[in-house]
Amino acid sequence: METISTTSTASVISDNAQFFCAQVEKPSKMFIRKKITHNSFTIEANIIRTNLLNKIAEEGFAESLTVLHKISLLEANWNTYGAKPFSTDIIAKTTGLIFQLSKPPMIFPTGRNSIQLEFYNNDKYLEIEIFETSYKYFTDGMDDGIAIGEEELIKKVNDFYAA
Amino acid sequence: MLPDNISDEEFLYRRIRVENQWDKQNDRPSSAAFKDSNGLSVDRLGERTEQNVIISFKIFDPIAIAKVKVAICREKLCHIKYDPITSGVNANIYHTLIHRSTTKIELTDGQAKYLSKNCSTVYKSQ
Repeated sequence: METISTTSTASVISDNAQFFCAQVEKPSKMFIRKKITHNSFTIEANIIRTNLLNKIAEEGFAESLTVLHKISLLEANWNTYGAKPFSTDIIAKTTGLIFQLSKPPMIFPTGRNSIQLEFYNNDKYLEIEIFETSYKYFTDGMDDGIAIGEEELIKKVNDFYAA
Repeated sequence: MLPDNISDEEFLYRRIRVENQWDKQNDRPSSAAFKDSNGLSVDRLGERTEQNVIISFKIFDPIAIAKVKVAICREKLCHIKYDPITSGVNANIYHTLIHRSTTKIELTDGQAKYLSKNCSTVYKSQ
């Protein structure tokens, strides 16, 4: 199993240790609720926690979470055009999604209270927008994004890189 | 006050306040910078020089300032609405809104992407 060993990643994690720990806990609990029975709770929780920490160690994921951390700190009117700060729910939702992706996204806040994930694969482009209660998917050739469920979204991203 | 009619040749300016909206890989604003639930606020150039616009924006401490030509917005059927703010601390006779259409406010993802790809950066902080 991979461990967190590269200097740059370790440094990034160290700088944001508190945030990373909190973010690792949230999706762990989320997955535990979904998948784990009470008898194996402790063992499975530790495995998931380890897997998530290893995910952070994968190239680019620590950087994505660092950006997300900065987004979580944005205050009211952060864009000088009246944008709102982001709720802990949308940050947790975004974190949970990122952990399920095969590649780390570029992450941007929007002025419509959503967080945008961007993916590039050579000339191809894929965009996901995360709202409090929904997701949107957008790619080249579309006029506007379309609503999509979480599982389908993860498949879209992973297929995007597999193609 | 400026004339309501905005020509295709006029430029519209948008502040990018936080580095999180800057796409470092492509060295331009992300389309996220063009998504706003209240419509995309911009300043029209009006009778000013571009340098005046930059100076007026610098009090907001932006990391970058982007400009886009009105014609580019109209190519994607955006509606440009001159919307001067005539009183209060935010009074601004150059304030203009870019809307999806005459009836809808938020830009489509395609419109936002098009603007991000076709805007120019006129100022970038060190």
